[in-house]
Amino acid sequence: MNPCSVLLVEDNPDDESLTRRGLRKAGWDDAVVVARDGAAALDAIRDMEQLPDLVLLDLKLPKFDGTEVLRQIRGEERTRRLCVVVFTSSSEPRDIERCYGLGCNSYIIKPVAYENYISTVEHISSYWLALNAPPASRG
Amino acid sequence: MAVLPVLDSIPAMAIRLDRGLVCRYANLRYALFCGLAPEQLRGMALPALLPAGSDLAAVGSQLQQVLHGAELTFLTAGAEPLLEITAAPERNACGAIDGCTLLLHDVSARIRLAQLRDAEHAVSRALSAAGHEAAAIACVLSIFGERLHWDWGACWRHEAHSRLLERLACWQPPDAAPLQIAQQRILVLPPETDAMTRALRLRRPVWTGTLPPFAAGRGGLAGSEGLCEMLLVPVIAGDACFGVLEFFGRSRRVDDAALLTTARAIGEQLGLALRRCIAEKHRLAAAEQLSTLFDNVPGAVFRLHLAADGAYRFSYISEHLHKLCGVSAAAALNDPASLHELICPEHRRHLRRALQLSREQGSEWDCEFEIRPATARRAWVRLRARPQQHGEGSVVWDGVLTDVTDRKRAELDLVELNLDLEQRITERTKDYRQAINELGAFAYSVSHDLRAPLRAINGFTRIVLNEHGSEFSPVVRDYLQRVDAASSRMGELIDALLALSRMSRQDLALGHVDLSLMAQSVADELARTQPRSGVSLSVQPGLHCTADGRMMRILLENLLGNAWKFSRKRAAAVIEFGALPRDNELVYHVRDNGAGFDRQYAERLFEPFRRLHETSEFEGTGIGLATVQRIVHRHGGRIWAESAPERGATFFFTLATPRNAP
Repeated sequence: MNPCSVLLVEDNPDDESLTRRGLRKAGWDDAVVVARDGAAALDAIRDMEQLPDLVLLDLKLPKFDGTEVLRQIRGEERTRRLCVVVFTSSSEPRDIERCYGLGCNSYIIKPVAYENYISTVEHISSYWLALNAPPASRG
Repeated sequence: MAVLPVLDSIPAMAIRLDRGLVCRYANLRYALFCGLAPEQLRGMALPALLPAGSDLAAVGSQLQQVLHGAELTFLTAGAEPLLEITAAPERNACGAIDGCTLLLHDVSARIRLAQLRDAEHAVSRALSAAGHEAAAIACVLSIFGERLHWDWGACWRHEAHSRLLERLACWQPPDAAPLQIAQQRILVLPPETDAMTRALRLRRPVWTGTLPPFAAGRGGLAGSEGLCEMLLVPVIAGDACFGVLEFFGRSRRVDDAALLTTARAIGEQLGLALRRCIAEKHRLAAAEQLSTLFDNVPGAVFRLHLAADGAYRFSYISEHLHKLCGVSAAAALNDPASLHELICPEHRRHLRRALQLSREQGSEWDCEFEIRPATARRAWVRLRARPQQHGEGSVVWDGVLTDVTDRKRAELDLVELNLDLEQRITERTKDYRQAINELGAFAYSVSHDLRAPLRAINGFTRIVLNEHGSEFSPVVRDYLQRVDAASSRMGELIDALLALSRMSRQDLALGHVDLSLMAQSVADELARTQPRSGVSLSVQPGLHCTADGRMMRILLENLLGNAWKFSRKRAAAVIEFGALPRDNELVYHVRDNGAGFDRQYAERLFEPFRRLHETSEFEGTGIGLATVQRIVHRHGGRIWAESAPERGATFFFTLATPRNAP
């Protein structure tokens, strides 16, 4: 099993906590690495021997924001096939269009209501980790 | 003596005088001329032989020369009849002159005729030189009066159908004593029998040789002044009669047709001259009037001639030119280039192009240019002129130059104002865009930064309730549930606020929208998500418009959703979407028979967060109608509502075809 299945890029500890709950519920919490800002996220990816199966990327981050992280991931040969799901509070069409334009795999707006939030994280993890993960990457 | 029978038979009058100028013999013709028998004449001295009043001294001196051997022909002078005398000396047997023989001819008629001819020619010459009426009349009176020895002459004006005559001029021989008749300046037209009236009526001259003194009328007055003959000559030109010439004389002349013929000719000549003078006067008056008219036109009227070789000159410019540009009309006529130099150099080409166009196409020459006079202020001038081809490639323009400075300044001000306005609009638009951007930034932070803490409040409250609920008392659990509900509601409010702000910022994506189909789909959605029985929702088919489809869907969702919501207390809810034409536009409506609202709130219905019903009664964010109004306004339409409490509500809206929607 990949030592890092999910890279959670999230500066807000509350959201981190809630997201972890969702992932735990879906059975993926044992291999979560958290990066608190954009630079940390890119460093973490660079330092990993094996790439994560999923990057859950918040947009509004310290240092440089999520779209820049996404741009750099897609810009490098090693990481350009990474599965990146933007998971953010922003429902702005501008953000949605920009992220899809930069090549995110999916753009999911964080629900406010707790039950919705948890079930959304569950759906994301089960879809991108269980259903869509390429067989080769599962060591 | 054989000579005497010869003298008796020749067709001339003959007398023989001795050296003392006493008659030795007179032939029969001469005796008849004198009204005596030849025998009676014999022995009479010369003064008795010649007509009374003849200039005897002149005749005597002529005859003295004859007695000295000369042969002479000469005229008697002084009185009529005038005689032409041809005299030759008579010699005796010794060859000495002892008398003379005179052949005499009565040439009165011939002389008179010659005089008349002379007078007529003199009048004719003088009239052709006379420039105006008064001069023409004066020269006719003096020439005719002097040459034919009248003692008084006058010209009376008479207008057709008038009973009055007005004296225009009179004449008397130089140094003559003043006459009483000169006092009269106005005459009442005399009766038919009077010579003056006859002359006017018959339109030919009338002569009277015997003026009865102390008789009635002007003739009688003249007679009492010793005047004995009178000639009245109508002054005629064609059908027109200007009046009558009046002449009185003291000497009694022979009534002959030649006088009347000449008088008639002179009357006609004067008539024609007067007509010519009057016509000339009218022409001058008309020209003067035209000139005055041109000078009063608020612009400089001109006539410009342009020859084929490009040379140009003005044949007329009205005086207004001076007011326009400080150059006198006379100066411009003399030196047309001086006008050209006043025109701003940058406008000269424009002026020439317009001229060229007018010349080639025969169209109006119409252009505006600025002039910089040396003395007057700078001014804008409009030129308008019509061309006329004048053969050989020359063109003549008649036109007018007007001062349009005020209008032009206003126009330029307007252009400046427009530029200023455009700049201000650009600035405002920039401000507006900036405001929109700020609103966007605000909305972004609302959507992102406000939702995150809310999510934490909601999330951890739920976790506490779900996983640790049993550790709290029911009261605490109730409070926690309230926190949970409040945070959920705040999330909805934030979402609605975001939607509203997005309606304002988003660009319109116009396209064809089938509103009927869309309304039906919204209705189906409502029936699926909020199922209820007893709702009759009808949609008028065939409603199409050009609009932003996404916004139209939000509009219909809100309006139909409201109708659905507020009619749920009705056992039989009726909801209707349709449109009716009204005043050249299509008015859409969404009608329900639900709770309705008080008319006085109709205006405030569309303010954000405005709720007319208790949240507990009808849930909602209070932003839906504000969003709907925003959408309608973005499409250039209007929205309003009619209702009464518990009587249902109808929302009306229009959609202008948006062109430059903000």
